[in-house]
Amino acid sequence: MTSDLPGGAVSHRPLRFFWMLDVSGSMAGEKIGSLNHAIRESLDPMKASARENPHAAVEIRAMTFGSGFRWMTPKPITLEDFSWTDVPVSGITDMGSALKAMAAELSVGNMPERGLPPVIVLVSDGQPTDDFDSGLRALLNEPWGKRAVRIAIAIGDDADLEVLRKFIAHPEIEPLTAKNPEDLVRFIRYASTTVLKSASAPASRPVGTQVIGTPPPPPPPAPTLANQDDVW
Amino acid sequence: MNLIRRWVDRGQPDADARSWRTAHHSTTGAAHLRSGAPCQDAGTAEVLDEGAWAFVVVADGHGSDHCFRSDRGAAFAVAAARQVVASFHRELRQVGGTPTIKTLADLWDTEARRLVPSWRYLVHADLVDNPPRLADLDREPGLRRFLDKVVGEGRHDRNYQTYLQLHWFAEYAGKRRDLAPERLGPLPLPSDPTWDVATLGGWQARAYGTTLLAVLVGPTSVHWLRIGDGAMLRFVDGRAQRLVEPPAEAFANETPSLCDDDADRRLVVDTDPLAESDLPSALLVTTDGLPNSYPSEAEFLHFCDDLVVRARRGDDVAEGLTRWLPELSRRGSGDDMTVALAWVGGGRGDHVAEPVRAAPVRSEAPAVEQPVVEEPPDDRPGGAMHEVVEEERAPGEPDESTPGESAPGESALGEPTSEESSPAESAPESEGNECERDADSGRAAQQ
Repeated sequence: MTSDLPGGAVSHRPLRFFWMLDVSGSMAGEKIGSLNHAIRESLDPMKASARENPHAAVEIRAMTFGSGFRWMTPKPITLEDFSWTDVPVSGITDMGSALKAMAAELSVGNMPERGLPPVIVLVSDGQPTDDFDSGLRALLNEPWGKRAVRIAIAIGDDADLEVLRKFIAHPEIEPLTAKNPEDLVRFIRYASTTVLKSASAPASRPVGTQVIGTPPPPPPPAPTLANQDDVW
Repeated sequence: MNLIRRWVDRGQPDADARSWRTAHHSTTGAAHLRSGAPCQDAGTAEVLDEGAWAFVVVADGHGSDHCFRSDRGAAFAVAAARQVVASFHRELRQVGGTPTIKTLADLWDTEARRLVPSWRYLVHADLVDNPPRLADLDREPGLRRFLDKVVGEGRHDRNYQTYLQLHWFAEYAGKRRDLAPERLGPLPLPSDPTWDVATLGGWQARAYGTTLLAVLVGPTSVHWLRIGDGAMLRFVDGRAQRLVEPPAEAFANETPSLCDDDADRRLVVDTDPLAESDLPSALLVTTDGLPNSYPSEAEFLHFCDDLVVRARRGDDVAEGLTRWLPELSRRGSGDDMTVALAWVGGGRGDHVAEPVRAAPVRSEAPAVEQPVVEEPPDDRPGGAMHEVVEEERAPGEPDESTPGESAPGESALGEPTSEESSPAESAPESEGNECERDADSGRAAQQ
């Protein structure tokens, strides 16, 4: 059976999903282990969630930052082909330079012409050690950066929530604070399924309305801690 | 023979050889079919004066939950654009002689600037006739989604305020239901001193938010108006080119809209003269669901070029669009899609010399689309197609499947003979929710 459709190639709309992961020295030990575990375990649910809206072609790209930043792959990878490689820790928290690199990645020339607004999930356990404000400015000055769905996950009580709120820049979205490994798994899964699903079917809207749509609320806190010794 | 025809016959460029034909179609997006949302697009494509003129119009109602009546808003936008064309045509006949390009441009600008108030007029009339009510949530799923969204935002003060505003607006509507249309007037802006924004809120226009793209072509000129995203193309020497670039503010899923408080400022209106060297062979307007189904501009234009080639060689593109658009939505953006096409020369269109009829706005009977489980024909990939099911028609409403002819002595546009017609009297019977429907022949989508 052949189609008589005029013209050539048709495509779903690309949706880029970015992990932006703090791997500074303070993440050493259980935190980085839990983060690697949480992302790896979220991949299958993420793929299942993406399949619910086949009109968005999800592409993943992950960045780590410590002393400087590093893209884990040279270019975005389709979700179906994406696999997780554990990341090690190193150095300080150069969040500002990481944001500038993200801004460059989201420049109009680097993004797909007819893409959906991207998703950026920032995970951090500390405070920026470089110029955070100029990095954030660079990101929000990019049309795609400004329109990105920005989610932040704080690991433990030492994370700078005010910095994460500035990154989100949305009055109705709060940073998610993971106080233990179970929280981290739930929040990573929330970002990679619920937020992804919401971002893959954005509604058209008049200019000047709230730039970023509000994703459904995050999961409620776990009723009891599995292990009181696991509190970060 | 009417004035324009006589004017054409006096020797305008290649006029006798240029007869326009048209086709248009709207389809409910694949994602909308899955979610149960209605088609929020509308469109039309029609010829005037035995093909000497043609106009193509599309409107794309916003999908945001706050725009819970955008399907009606899109239909009203198309109705308002038709009224602009009708009024332009009527005024042109008053000019006499051979109008200069400046005369044409000035006249188009004057008439096109009436678009925003005309649309707000239709919205106001609809709101007064059918105010959103909590009691009607089952009949208006869009309103339910809007209220769920407000509740989901967790702002109890805003939630309570919204419910109060709906209540007070229903009272406002009740006091105006019996007003004559000319006394009702356009929906006031929230900043208007006559509008009690504290009590009534400012959600009304946004509920109907939509884009609008329209192009009118005649023997010596092409005229357009645009507010919002989508594509407007003309075809010269067999190649598609943008008539006008999309607005800079249209980025990702944001777009200028007829519901904006400053919509009159955002509305782009223009006229180009047609020279012998660049006479267009076709014009096409489309909502953004179509271009968003292609990886690049070049691939999108390839589709459009191919479509025009098929139309001009005589293929039945009106029928083809009923199959191609659902397939494109399924394999592409998932969004609603509308294409309105006009071309010069041969081929079968769906609107040949169709008169633009005046019609009442109220009690419109929308056509709704239902999935049909049936074996697909051999020439397209599998998957359910859709058919139109006419909802119950209000008593006395005309049957769209048998459009009437112009009465003797009536203009080809069929506009009212009085100098000032009410916008509410020129609203569409069929443009709104006409997804999967060939409006001219009344033919349901091919199954």
